[in-house]
Amino acid sequence: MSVPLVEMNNVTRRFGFVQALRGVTFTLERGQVVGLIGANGAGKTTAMRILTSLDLPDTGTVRIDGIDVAEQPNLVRRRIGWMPDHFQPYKDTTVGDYLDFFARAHGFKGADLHCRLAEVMDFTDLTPLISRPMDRLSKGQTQRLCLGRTLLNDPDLLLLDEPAAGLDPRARMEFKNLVRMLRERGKTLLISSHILTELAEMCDTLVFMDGGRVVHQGDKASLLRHEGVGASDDPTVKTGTAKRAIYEIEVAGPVADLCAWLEMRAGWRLVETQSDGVRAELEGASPELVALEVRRLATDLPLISFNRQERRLEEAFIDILRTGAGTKKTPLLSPPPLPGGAKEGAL
Amino acid sequence: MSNETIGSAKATAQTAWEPPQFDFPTWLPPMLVKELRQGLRTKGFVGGLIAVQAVLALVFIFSFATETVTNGGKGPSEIFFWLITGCVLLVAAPVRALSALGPEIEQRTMDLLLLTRLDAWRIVWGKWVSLQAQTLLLLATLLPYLVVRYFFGSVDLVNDFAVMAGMLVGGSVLSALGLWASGLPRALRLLIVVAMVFILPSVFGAGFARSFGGATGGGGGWNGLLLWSLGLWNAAVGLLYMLILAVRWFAPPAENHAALPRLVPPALALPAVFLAAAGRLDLAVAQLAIASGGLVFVAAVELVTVREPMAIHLRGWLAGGGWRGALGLLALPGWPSAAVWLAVNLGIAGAGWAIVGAVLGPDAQTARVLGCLALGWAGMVFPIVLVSLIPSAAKTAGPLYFLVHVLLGAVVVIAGIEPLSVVAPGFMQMLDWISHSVPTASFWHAALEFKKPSTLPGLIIGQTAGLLLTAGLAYWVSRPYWERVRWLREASKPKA
Repeated sequence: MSVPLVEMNNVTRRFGFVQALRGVTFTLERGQVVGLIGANGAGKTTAMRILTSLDLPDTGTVRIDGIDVAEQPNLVRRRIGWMPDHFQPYKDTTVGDYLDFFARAHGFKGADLHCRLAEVMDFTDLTPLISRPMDRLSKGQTQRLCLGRTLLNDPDLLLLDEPAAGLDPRARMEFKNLVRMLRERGKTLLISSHILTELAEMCDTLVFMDGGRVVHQGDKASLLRHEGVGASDDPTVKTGTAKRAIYEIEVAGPVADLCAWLEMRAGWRLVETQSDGVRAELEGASPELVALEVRRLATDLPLISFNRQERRLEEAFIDILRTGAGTKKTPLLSPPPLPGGAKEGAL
Repeated sequence: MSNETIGSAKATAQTAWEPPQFDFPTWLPPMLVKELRQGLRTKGFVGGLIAVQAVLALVFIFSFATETVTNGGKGPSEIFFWLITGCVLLVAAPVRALSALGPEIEQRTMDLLLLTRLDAWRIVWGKWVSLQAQTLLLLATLLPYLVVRYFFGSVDLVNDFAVMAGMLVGGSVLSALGLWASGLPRALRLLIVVAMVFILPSVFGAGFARSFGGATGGGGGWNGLLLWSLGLWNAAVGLLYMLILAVRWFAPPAENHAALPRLVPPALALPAVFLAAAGRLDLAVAQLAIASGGLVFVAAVELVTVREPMAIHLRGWLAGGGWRGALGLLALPGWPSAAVWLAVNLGIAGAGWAIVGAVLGPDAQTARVLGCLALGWAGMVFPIVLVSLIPSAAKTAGPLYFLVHVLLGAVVVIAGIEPLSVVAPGFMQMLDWISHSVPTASFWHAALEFKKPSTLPGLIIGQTAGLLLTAGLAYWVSRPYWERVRWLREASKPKA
């Protein structure tokens, strides 16, 4: 049995009084494209920084390709590429000089260096920009440059933090194309983003984080089909959601009447009001119950259409947060806090 | 987009980009190459080079026209040559160093470098070497003028080179100081810029230049060699310390940089032992004074560097327990460990003094020196204990620590102004009480011998009470720190 590429096991991290990670556990298999989803402060960036070895866990273990991040950070760094959410161009530096420097910093020399640079610039379509100063690149070109830099050491694992933020539609398409090509080449990608639709298009597995915990890890397709398929060993992770279904309902009369009808009926929850109907969720949606509800609705209101809808990722995320609120919490396995609040002080 | 394979570096790729025939940068560290590429293109370097050449050319042309050969090298050409050499060596590079790290730390571009094969030390080292290389390049452009000065007479080339070497060493230490200071807040950086332009060059430059110049010109022989060696040793220790401080701004926690800086005071004190053994007590005392200054500076920096211990810091020495574990406790990041380290250092100094006192015979000063060392510990630790009581003060620990020192020092100074006792006796009585018993103030009071005979018993009681209060408070405030250390040590022990 092959070793997972990434194993995060019961990782905790505290900054002063802030418990950033609370027993985070997840694994990534080789070749997966995984989306890391969570609100601000959920612990995504802390988890990513720990994966890169730039920060270390208080407790728990993190292994990349079987190597402990805390014990052998240098070996781990050779296997990963990190594209952070921020980028600052170097002054007085061209695209070619920038990539050349990073390639040298990764240990490439001589013919290997120039071959590697040529490959990466070709892949990211940066060759025509080789002499352009970095501060004169468009946002899309800058993202391609960042990705190129991330690929220089030919990493097995790519960590992309908000990679498509601020990109125009064309640049976004180009970026998705690059991700697709990387997936085809067997790279493992962990992509963090707030834009869930973007993740839905790029990822096949999603890890939901909230309050420093992994609240769900599962396959995207099944998640959208309302079937939670938890794959996490963490006891706090929801391994399944209640059987719910979302329906798009259209009636001939005012939408307000339909809303009032849904409010009066048990098991229904209004998700979204539209111009000509609503999207609503039905609890315990067995075929018999759905048929019964459709008959009643058709009796009470002039029903035009009643169609089952796929859940959107945003709805799945909110649903997981809502239903996960009362789940069992793991005991806090983090050291006692230090006074002073912040991690590091002046000087 | 191309569909070229991203795989082995040895794969052949057909592109329009051709590698250069001769790749000189391959022979140099990547960080140095990057910094030189950037640095040599900056307006600061190019503008400085042109300005230096223009000024010196004009001055020398003017000197040729006006100076006589017999003026003994005291004309404008001489003055301007040394002024510009001093500026290039002692001001330009250190001031440029002040903006070398800060912006990159703020923009978080360092993280990307740390994910390559470069570690924090190589990054800082590359930046420092690049600054020195650029300084040497500027210096090389000044050498023709050094030779041209022969036309005006009275030039001792050997001594001139020695003085230049001294200034170069001083400038290199100042550049390292600038690299560290580049991570400080903007207001503090501005203060350091002012110091670097007006004060530090004369202190460092003149010190090293006199030491090196004196070694070749004045002293000569063994004495000269000794001065050279001492100057180089102190410069090397100071330089490494400053670079380590610069590294600490952005090094990941896995690189524990708390241990090395705590070896700086012993490293500075070490030559004093050899000097004393060789019978050079004057130089030994001077070296001990430098080491004491180093101890105070290192202790202040260590105490205000609010860093937490992590499991990774507790592996190795601490996990072993016993003596190794005890030594490991002195090398942990965080002020409680630094306070213990300071106590150990002062204890060693006190023991050394007591032994010397015993050898030389009964000395009335021994008790006072030991008392001052104990009060010195309390004086250094008390302000950080106070600062630690303020929630979320970690980010401003340095300025607050300094402020407490200034306030308590001011109390001692004001309490020493005798005429005020007549004007405001109640106020002065309060200041007197603070000077007796509040740590930091009580140290200065004892060290500067402001004691009044009538209050001597009260003074000792007050000082002892202040010392015990500081120790108790430090223990109480640092309990969570030590609890965390214990917790992490247990958690990081391998499970059976």
